[in-house]
Amino acid sequence: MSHECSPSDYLDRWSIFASTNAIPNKGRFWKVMNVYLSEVCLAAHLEPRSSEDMKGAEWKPAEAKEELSSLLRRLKYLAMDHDIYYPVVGVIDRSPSQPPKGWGDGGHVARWIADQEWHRGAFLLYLEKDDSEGISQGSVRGRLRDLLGGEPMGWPEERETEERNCEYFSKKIEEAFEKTSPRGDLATRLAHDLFGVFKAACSEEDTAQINREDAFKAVISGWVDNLIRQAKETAQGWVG
Amino acid sequence: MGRMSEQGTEERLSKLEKIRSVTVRDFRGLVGEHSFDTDADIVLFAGPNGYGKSSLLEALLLLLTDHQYHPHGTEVHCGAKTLFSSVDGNVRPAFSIQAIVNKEETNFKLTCEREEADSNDQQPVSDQGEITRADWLSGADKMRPDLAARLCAFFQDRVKELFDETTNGTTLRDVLEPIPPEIGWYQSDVSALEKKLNEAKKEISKKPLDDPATISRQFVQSLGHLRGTYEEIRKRRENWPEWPQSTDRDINEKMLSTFAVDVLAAEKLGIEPGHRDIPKRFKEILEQTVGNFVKTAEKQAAVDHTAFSSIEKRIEEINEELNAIAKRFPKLDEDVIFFNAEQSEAPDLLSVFQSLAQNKNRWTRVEIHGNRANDDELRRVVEEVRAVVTSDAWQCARILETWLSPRRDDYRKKSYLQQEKERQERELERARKSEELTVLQGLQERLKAEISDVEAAWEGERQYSAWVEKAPLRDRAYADLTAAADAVLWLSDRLHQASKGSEKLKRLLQELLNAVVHRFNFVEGVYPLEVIDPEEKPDTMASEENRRSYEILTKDKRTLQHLSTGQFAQIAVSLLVAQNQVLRRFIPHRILLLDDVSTAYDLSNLTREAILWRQLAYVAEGDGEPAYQIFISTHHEDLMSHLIDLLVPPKGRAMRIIRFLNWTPETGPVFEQFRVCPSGERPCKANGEEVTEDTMDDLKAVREDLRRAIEETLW
Repeated sequence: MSHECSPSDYLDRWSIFASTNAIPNKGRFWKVMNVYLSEVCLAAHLEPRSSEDMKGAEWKPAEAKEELSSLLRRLKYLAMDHDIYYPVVGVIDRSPSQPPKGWGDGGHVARWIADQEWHRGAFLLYLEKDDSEGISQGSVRGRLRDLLGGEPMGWPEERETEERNCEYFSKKIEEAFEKTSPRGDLATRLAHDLFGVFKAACSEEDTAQINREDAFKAVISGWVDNLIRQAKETAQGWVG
Repeated sequence: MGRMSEQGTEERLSKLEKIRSVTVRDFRGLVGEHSFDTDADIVLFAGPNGYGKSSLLEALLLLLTDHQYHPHGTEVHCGAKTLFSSVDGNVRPAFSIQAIVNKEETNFKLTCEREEADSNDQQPVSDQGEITRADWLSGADKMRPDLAARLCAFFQDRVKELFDETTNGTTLRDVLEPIPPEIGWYQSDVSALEKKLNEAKKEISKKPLDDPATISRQFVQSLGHLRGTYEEIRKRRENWPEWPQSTDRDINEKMLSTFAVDVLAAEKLGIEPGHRDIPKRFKEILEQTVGNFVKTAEKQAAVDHTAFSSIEKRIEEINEELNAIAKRFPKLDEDVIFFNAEQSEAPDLLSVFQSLAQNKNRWTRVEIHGNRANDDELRRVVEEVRAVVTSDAWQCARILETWLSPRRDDYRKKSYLQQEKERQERELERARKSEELTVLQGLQERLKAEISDVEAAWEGERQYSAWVEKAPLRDRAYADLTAAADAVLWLSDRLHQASKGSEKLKRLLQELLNAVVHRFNFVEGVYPLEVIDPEEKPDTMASEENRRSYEILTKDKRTLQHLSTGQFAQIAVSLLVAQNQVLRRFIPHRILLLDDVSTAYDLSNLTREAILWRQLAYVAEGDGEPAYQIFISTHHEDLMSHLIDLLVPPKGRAMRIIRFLNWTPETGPVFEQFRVCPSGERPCKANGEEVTEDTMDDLKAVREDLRRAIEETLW
C-alpha cells in the first residue's frame, strides 16, 4: 500500500520545528531531523550522524544506544514538564544518505527494539527505510504518518462493498454474456433463454422458503424437460 | 418471557456512538445492581481476576450484539446467589443490563430483563429463548450475533473466534459476499440437469441394433437364400414380378419393400408402400402360396394312384375287425397275460394245472431211503402232492383253458391285423407320393426356414434404414441437447465465477489488516500478511471442508497456528480492527470491547497497541468524533499503570478507569471510578465537566512550548 502525497500535507501539521536546521543537534551519534506531536504520540525522526559529522569518529553502538535512550527519555520528560503524557516514539532512518562507518543496515538498532530491559516501555523505536521511493508503510515518513494520525490517515479509504444479491448475480451474468458467451449461436440463445427463466424464478416470491426452493428447481427443471421433449420430437421427425 | 426491550422512545438508533453509563444487575459475576460511569473515549477496567471485569465486558457485548460467549446453562450459580432461576432443572436468566447512550438529549435505556416469574409456571424455558435479538439498533438485524461479536470484541480466551478460518459461526464472506439461496439451488441441481440432458442425448442417438455391417450382411445373405426359392415359386406363379434386378450385394430394404408390394399386388393384395406390415404380409403370401401348391399336388398324386382305393378299403376292413376284437375283449391284452407267471421262464397257471393232473401219480411214487433231515422235508413235499386231487386239477385246467383260449386266439389275430394295417398304410403313403409333391414339400421346408431369416433381417434392415434416414433430424436434436447442456453449464460456471471472492474486498481486508499489523514488531517472515481465499489455494493446501472464509498466511506462507501466543494476539487485534473497518456500514455502533488484550504483549508491543487505541479513540474523524469508544480490561497491576501512562487522553478527550477492588458473593464487585486528567488540562477538571477547547489549537501552543524547551534543554 502506498499513499503518495506530499509529507507536508500531514506531517507538517504535527512538526515542532520548521526544518532540521532549526534543531540544535548536539548529540555525538544521533541527529534529530524533527519532532512531531499529535493527539496520539510524540515522535522524533532520527538519523545516525554521518561520518563527516562525526569527524571520522567510529560509530560505537553501545554508546549510541545510551545516547538514544537518554535523548528519548529527556524528550519524554520535557513533554511531561509541559503536561504532555503521550507515548514517545523514535523513528530511525535505516538507510541515511551518509551512514557512519559501522552502521551497516542498522541491524543492531533492530535488536535494541527487542531489548525490554533497556527501554522498559518508556519509548518505542521503529527502524525504517528512507522515503526516496515514496512515502509508504515501510518508510520513515510513512511510519510517522501512520503513528501520528488517526486511522483515516494511513488506511485504505475505500470501504464500501457491493451487495451481493440476485440483482448482483444477474448483472454479473449479463456482463459475462458480453465477454464470453457459450460456444455457438444455439448455446448462446439457450443460455439467454435459461438465464431469463432463472431470473424470473429468482423474482418469484413465496412465503415458505422450502416451497420457494421446490418452485425454483421445478422451473429450471421444467425448462430442461421441455427442451428434451422438443429434441425427441425433432429426432422422430414430428416437427420441422 | 424476557426480551430485549427499548424504553423511553420508539425511535431506533441509527448508530450507537458512545455508552455513557451502564447499569448491570445480576449478570454473571456482577452480583447485585451496579452502575458504571463510562462516559469516556477509553474506559479501562482494572483489577484482579474474578472481580467482574470480564462480566462487565460481556454484559456490554450482550447489549450490543445479542451474543454471549458463555452460554447460560454452564453457570447456574455464582457465589451464594443464584443468578439463574432453576425450574425443574431448566435455567432462566434473571438479569438486567441498562445503558444510557449517545448524547444527553438522546438518552436510551436499553434493558434485557426477564418478566416476573409466574410461580405456577412449570413450563421449562430454554436459556437461549430468553434473549431475543437486539433489534433496537438499525442494521443490527443484518448480521448474526456471533459475527457481530467478532467484529467488536476481543476476549483473550476466545481469540480464535476472531478468525474466519477458526470460528464455527458465520464468516465475513457470508456477510460481505452472501450467495442468494437461488444460486445454491441452481448449482445443486446442475449435475442432475446435465445428466438428464446427456441421457436424452444417448437415447436419441441409440442405434436400433448394434452392428450395421452385420445387419446388412444378414439381410443380403437371407435374400440370397430366398431368391432361389422365390424363383421356384414364380415358375408356378407367372404373374408374380421378377426378383429385383440388382446384384445381391446391392439389394436394399427399399427395393425389397417395393418388390414385396408388387408380389402382393400380383395376388391382388394391396398395401401402401412403406407400410410397416409389408414384411409380414410378404411372408404370409409366400407361405400361403406354397402351402396351396402342396395341397394341390397331394390331391393330384392321390388321384393318380390306381391301387389307392383298394388299399383304403382293406385298411377299413382291418379297422373293423380290430374294433370287433376290442368290443369282444375290452381288456384283451391284460386278460391274456393275467395268469402268466411274473417270471418269464416260469410256467403259467394252465400249464401248472395240466402238469399236476398228468404227473401227480408218478411224483408220489418217489422212493425215500434213510433218515436224514432233508429226507423228511421231501416226504412232506410228497405228502403235499398226494393231497392234490387229480380230477380237480383236470377240472381247473379245462375251465381255465376254456376262458383263455378265445382270448389267445383274438390276441394272435389282433397282432396279425395290426401288422397288416401298417403294411397297407405304408403302401397308401407310397401311393400318395409323387415327384411334384416331393419337390413342393421340399420347397415348403426351405421357404419356412428362409422366410423366417428374411423376416428377421428385414426388420433389422428396415429399422436401421429408418434410423439412417433420420440421421439429420437426430443430429439436430442432439445438437439442441448439447447446446442446452452447454447453456446449463455455462450459467453454472458464470454463477460460480460471480460467487468467487471479491478481489477488491480481499485486498481491502488485507491492506487494512497489514496497516494495523504493521505497527507491531514481528520477526522476519511474518509481515506482510496475506489474506487468501481458500478456493484459490493450490490443491496441496486446500482443505476438504470448503468453507466460505478468508484465511490468513504469513509472508513465508505459514498458517497462523504456527505463530506464538503474542504474535497471534497481535494479529487477532489487528484483524478485529480491520474487520470492523471493512464491515463498518453493517455495524450499528462504534464500540470496541477488549478483554485482557494486553496480557500477551511485550513492553514494546504494548506501547504500539496503546498508540493504536489512541488513534482510534482520540483522533477525530470527519464528523468531529473519534472512530471508536474503547473498553479495555486488564488484570495486571504493572500493565495497568503502564497502560494508563500510555493512554492519557489529549485535551478534549476523556479516559475513565474503573478499578475493581474486591468481590464478595453477597454484594458482587467493589469498585472505584476515576476520570483521567487529560494532557494539558491542569488543574484536572471535575468529573463530567465539558471540555470545549479546540484540541488542535491547543496542541499548537504546546508544540511551541515544547520547541522552546527542546532548543533550550534537550541536549
